[in-house]
Amino acid sequence: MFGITIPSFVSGNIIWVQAILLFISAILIIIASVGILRLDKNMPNVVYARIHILGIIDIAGVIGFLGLGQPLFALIYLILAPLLAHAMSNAYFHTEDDYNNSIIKNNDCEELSSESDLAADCVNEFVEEESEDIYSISTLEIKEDE
Amino acid sequence: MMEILLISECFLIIALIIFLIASLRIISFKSVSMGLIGTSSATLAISLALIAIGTMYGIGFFKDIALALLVLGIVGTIGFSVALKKGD
Repeated sequence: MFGITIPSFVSGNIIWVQAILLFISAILIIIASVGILRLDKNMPNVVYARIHILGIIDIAGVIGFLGLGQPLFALIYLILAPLLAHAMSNAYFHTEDDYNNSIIKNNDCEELSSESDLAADCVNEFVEEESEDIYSISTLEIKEDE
Repeated sequence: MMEILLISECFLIIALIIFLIASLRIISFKSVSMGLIGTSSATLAISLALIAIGTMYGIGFFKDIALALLVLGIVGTIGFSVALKKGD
């Protein structure tokens, strides 16, 4: 490799290191796969949890690339994997996350209320949240006057 | 000595097959973001499996396919995420 002659005892140890890296990578991938499949899909923020679990598989992939003797692949994926996870979670937050993103939640309530009367609970929750905000702001003003 | 490397590569390929099944399950959810997550993880699994198979059987061009798949898959996923965010 790179014009350097590697002694035989070193190359034998390199094969052992490669095998150990591949075993570690495979075990991490199996554990993370089972974790993704066992995750409850009704829990809140499950998409972020899945992206978090996929971070383990990203690092397992980097270890696997190193074990297969491809450091360039490992470097590329090590740099690009966080960007990928951030881009996916950012896109989910701005488009589909009605649990954390209040803009999407309010839009859904308005659409439901304009279509039918079934969204009374949703609108009531929204009004309660707004009234709580007003109350908290008013107490702050009283404290400032005092 | 070479047998332990071959056994570990076979074990890695089995793990990758399990992970591909898990990523197919993720893709099957109705949310667009879950499809993105599943396809990006499947890209990683396929490129890793291609390199492992190419190393086992001595096929050189599998490495080129894996490199193209890895880089273009990630760049495409990031681009689609940005378009999804801006297009809403």
